[in-house]
Amino acid sequence: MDVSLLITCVVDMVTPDVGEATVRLLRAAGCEVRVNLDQTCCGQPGWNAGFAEEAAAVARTTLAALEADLDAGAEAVVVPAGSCATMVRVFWPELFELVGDHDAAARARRVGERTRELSEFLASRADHLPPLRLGRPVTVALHESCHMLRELRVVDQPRELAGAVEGCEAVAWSGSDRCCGFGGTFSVKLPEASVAMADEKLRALAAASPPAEMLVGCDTSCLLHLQSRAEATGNDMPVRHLAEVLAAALPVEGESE
Amino acid sequence: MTGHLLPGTTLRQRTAGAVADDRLRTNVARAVDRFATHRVEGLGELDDADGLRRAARAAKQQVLADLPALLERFADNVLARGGYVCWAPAAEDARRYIVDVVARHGATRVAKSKSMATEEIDLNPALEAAGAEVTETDLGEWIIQLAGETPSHIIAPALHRDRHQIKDLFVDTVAAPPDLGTEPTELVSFARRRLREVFLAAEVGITGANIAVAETGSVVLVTNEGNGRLVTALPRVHIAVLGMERLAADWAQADLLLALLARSATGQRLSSYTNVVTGVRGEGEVDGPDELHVVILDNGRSELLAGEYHEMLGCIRCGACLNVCPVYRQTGGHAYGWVYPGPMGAVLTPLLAADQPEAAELAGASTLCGACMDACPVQIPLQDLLLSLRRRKAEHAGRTERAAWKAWSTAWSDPRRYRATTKAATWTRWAASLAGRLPVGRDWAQGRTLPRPAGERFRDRWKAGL
Amino acid sequence: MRETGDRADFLARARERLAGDIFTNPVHVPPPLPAPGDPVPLPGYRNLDPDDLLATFVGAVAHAEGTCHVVDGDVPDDLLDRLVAELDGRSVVTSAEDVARTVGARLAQRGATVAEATTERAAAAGLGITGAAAAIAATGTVVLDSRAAGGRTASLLPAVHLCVVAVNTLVPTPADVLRRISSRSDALPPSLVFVTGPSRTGDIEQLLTLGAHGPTALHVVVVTDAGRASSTVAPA
Repeated sequence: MDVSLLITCVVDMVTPDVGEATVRLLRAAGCEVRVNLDQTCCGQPGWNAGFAEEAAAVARTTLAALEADLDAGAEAVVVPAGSCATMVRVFWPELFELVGDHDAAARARRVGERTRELSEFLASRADHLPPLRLGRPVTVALHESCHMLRELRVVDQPRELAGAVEGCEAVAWSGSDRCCGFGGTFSVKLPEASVAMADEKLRALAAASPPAEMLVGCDTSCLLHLQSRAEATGNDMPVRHLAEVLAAALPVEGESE
Repeated sequence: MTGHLLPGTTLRQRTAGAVADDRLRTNVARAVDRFATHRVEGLGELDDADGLRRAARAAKQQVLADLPALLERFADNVLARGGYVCWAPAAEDARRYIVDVVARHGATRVAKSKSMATEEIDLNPALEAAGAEVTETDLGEWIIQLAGETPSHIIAPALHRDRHQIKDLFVDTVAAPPDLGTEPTELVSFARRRLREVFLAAEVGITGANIAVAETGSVVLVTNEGNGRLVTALPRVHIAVLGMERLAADWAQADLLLALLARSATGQRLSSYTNVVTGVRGEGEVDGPDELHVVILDNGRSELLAGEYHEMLGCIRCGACLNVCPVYRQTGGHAYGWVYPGPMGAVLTPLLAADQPEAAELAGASTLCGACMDACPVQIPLQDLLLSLRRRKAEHAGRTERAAWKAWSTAWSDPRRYRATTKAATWTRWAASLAGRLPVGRDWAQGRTLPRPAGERFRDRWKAGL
Repeated sequence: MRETGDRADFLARARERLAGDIFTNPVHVPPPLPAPGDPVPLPGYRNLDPDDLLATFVGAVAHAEGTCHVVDGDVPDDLLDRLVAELDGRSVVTSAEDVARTVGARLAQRGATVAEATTERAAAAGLGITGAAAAIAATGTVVLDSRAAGGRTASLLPAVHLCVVAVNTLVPTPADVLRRISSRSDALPPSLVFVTGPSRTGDIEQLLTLGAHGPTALHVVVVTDAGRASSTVAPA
C-alpha cells in the first residue's frame, strides 16, 4: 500500500527519531512510504492563535504537497501526531472557507478523508504488522492527547497497539486523558497555568500503580512539554512517542532494544 | 454592560496568582472531581444521554430561532396571571426598575436567591445605595457576599474556601461564636438559623430563573437548599431576573432540559426543589407574593443572535464545563475576572463585555482541549467559539504579534524558505534567541527546559536515504 | 399598566438579527432544526421499572436521602408515635388538604399541638404535614400544589416534612407530570414544587449536608388502597 507521510514540523525539526520510527513501522506494515518534501506545516499554530490568513497560506502549501502524493498513487496520508491529523481532517475545510478559498476547502476535504493519525492507521493494518516484541520489558503510561481523543475519536488504538507488543504493559493512571497544558501559544501566554497543568499530569504519573517506567504518547508537542517540565524538576522518566516504542519492538535481524 | 471586571489585572496575573495558591487548587480539584464523577453517574442513568443532549441542542436552536415571539408569549402569560413585566435592554434599565419596585414598597430588606444575571448587572450595590439591605441566601453566595468576593463556580460559588476559612469568616463578619465547630453540619446549622431570620423579615425576594416557560408564563427555579422557595413564598414581592435567552417554548422542552440540568451539574436526578412559579399568591393561600415582577434582560444578548456566537445563548448554566476544564482546575473561577467562570465564561465574558478590551484575552484561557464540549448538556461548540473569539482578537493584534505571525506564514508557506529557516544551524540560532532574548523564550523557560534541537532534521535523513 | 419598557423596541434588534440566515457551525454541525410539531424526545430512565413503579419510587426516595413508608390504609401508629417523640414539644402544622388534616388530628390525639399552617405557625413548628398532587417514581419526587395545600410553608419551614401520597397518583417519570401541564392560563397553581428529598447543600467542601434552609428530613408515606392488588414492597 502506498502512503504519503505528513511528517509534521515539530517531528521534522526536533524529534527526527520519531519520523524514522514511523517510516520503519509503515514499511513493516507493508506500505511504501512517500515523503513530499514540499510539505511544511499544517498551519495549526497560526490557526489556534486566530491568524487564519497566515495559517491558510502555510496550510495551502502542505495541502498541495499531500495532494500531489495522492494524485501520484498514495492511498492515504499518515500523520504521527494527533493534533496535526485533526488540523488536516477537521479544521482545514473551515480554515479555507473562512479565508474565502472554496477550491482549497474542497481539495482539503478530499485529502482529509484519506488522512489518518499513525496509531489509527497502524491499528487498521494490524494484521499486516509482524509480531512485536521488546527485548527488555517495560511498563508504560499512555498520555491520551486531546485532539486525538475528542476530535478524531481515536481512543483505543494506541492502547491496543501497545498491548500487542510483547513485553510492553500499558498501565492505567488517573487523568490520562486530561490535557497536558501545552496548547500551543497557551504555553507561553499563560506559562504558570501551563506548568501547573504539566505538574498535575506528572504527579498523577508518579502515583500510577503499578508504576510506569516510561511516558508514551502520540503527540510530540505534548511529550516535549511534559518532558521539559519533568527535566526541570529533576524527573528523569523517559518520554517516547508511541512510534518509537513500536519500532523498537519490530523484528530487526539480530538486534533488539 | 457594566461590571466588576477587574481592571488593572491581566489574565496572566490572575492565573499566576491562582496556581500559586495550593489551598485553592486543592479545594477546586476536590470539588470539580466530585461533580464530574457524579455527572457521569447521573447521565449514565438516562437512556441515550448523548441523543438527549443532541435533542436539547436542537430544542435550544428552535427557541432562539423563534425567540421574539416566544418572549412575547411568555410576557403575555405573566401579565395574564397578574404579574409585571419589565423589558430591560441594558443593565441600567434592570437596576433602575428593581430599585424602583423596592422603593415603592418602602422595603429595606431584600433576600436574594442565586442569580448570575443579577451579579452581571451589579444589582446589589445599586440596591444598597438606595438604602436596602441585601442578603444572599444561597449558602455559597452568602459566604462570598460576606467575604466581598465574586463566585468561584456556577453551582458552588464558595468552593475555594474550606471549612476552617468559612468558620473564620462567620466569626469575623457575622459574630458567630468563636467556638463554632467546623463540622459542615454545625456551619450549615449556624447559617440556617441566621438566614431563617432574613427570610422571615425580607419584604422583597429576588431570584434568577433557570428556565422560563413561554407556554404558561412560568419561571422555574432549581435549588437544593430551599432558599429559592423561601424567597418566593415569604416576602410580599418577588422579582425574577431573566436573561432573554433562558426560555423553553413549552413544557416538553422544559422536561428535556430538566432531565439534563441537575445531572449535568451535580449528578442528581432532580435537585431537591424544582419550583414552578406562575403568577402571584392565589386566593385562599396563606403565603406567596402579592406581586410578581419578571425583568427580561438583554444586556448584549440580542447582539449574539444568528451570528457566530449564536449557540452560546443555549447555555443553561449547569457548570459541567467548569468541572472538566483542565485550566479551571488549576485556577478556580476568580482568574476569569468576572461573573462567569471556566469555559463558558471564557466565551461569554468577551461577548457580553465587548466594550472592555481586557475581556478579549479570556479567549486565551484555554488549551482548546475540547473536554468542555463533551460535557455540555446542550452541546455548545465551545472550542469553535473560542477560536472565533481569537480570530476577532487577532484583528486588533499589536504590531509585534502580527509581524511574528506574518513572518512565520511567509517563511513556511514556501518550501524553500521553510527549509532555510529550519536548517539545524538556523534552528540552533533560534533556540538561543528563545532561551533568553525573546519574551516567548523566557516565558517557556519558566520552570521548563528548552527543547534541544536535533543534529539534523527528519527530511535530511530522508534525503540521505531512509 | 403592568408592563414597563416598549416590547417592540426591546425585540427589534433580535428580530433584525433573526431576519437573515442563522449561522450554522461548520465543524461541529448542529442537528437539523426540528419542524414545528415534531415531538421532543422523551428521556428514558434506567432505574425505572415500569412494572413496579412503587419499588422504583421507594428506591428513588431513599437515593435522594428521603425516607419512604408504604402503608395500606392509614399512616401507621408507630410512625406517628415516633414523629411525636421527635417533636420534643414543638408544634405541628398541616396544609389545608384533608389527608394532612386527618393525620394532624391523630397527632393531636397523641398530645401534639396541631394547627393549619400560617407562616408564623410553620416557622415555630417542628413538623409540617402535606399531601401531594402527584408522585414521580423515577426520581423519587413528590409534587406539591400550593392551591391544594392552601400555601407553601407547611412543607418548607418546619425541620421535618411528612408528605402523604396516594398510590394512584404515582406516575413513572417527570414527563408524566410536566408534559401534561395544560397551557390554559389558570392551569398551574402559583407554586408547583417538585420535591426530591430534603433540603441540602454541598457548599462546605462539597460534603452533603442536609437541612440547609428547608426541611432536614422528608418522610413520604405512600398509601395503597386496602383492597388493591399492589406490589409487595416491604415498608421502608
